[in-house]
Amino acid sequence: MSEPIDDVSIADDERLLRRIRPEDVVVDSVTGQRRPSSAAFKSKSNIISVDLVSLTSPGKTLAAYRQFMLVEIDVGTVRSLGCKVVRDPLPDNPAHALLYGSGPDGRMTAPQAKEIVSQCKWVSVRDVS
Amino acid sequence: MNDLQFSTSTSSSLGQMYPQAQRPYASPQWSRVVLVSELSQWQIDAIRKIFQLLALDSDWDSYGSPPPSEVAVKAAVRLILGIDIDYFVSPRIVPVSGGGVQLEWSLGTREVEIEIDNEGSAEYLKSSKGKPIEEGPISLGDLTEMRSLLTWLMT
Repeated sequence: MSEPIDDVSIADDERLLRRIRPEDVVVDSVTGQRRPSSAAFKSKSNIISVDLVSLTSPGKTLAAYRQFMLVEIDVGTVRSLGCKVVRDPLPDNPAHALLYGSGPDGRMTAPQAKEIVSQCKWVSVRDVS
Repeated sequence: MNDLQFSTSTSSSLGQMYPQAQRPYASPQWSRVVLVSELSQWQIDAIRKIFQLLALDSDWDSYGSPPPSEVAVKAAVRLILGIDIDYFVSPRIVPVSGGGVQLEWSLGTREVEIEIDNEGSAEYLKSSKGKPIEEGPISLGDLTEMRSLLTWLMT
């Protein structure tokens, strides 16, 4: 796979949305707060899919997946962890983007996934519109 | 490596929970019999959770992932069976997109994650106070390596 190129047209203050299965929420051993398992930001076969919040809304991202939860993390944070963000619009989802890690084939490394779930924020239900 | 089969000749909770006709992977290839009565409670709990992953549908993550692969599930069960600690905490078991399984142990402010991919390869991550401190591949058959990880967790 060719080396992904970070899309600098995506600003550091852009936020990335990712759906989380409720069963994959864990209690953080340090903060005592609920957070996604780091597994939610890992995949061997696919690059991690996210939505760019400036091109969508939490409500749209969850529209077909009402049973899921939603987290957000800003692009500057993932870049500081060595990740790259690339636009990947789909016919039914122009906000779709890919979040590359620094592992083989652009996979997220375990430390990157761990840091992301430690720093991401829940998008609360009342913010879903 | 031997394949696994849980004996239904016991009156164990696992035997009752997964009778022969309902076990997805019951086949002649699963030839190694494990007596549930020889397992610790935390192992039984963990294996029960691993088997529950088999019920996942395709697209369980909403991003098109297949369910955990048979290879990953078997590897996770073998890992649990290989840990010879009687009293321990049962790990969190979570699926990983692409057909993998992740096991997570937390004790105090220390955490160990073991990610098993769809082909059965595994990697570990040690974290302390929420910060990753060490990662690398791990051979699930290497009990010394596993003991070292879990000993670190407990100290």
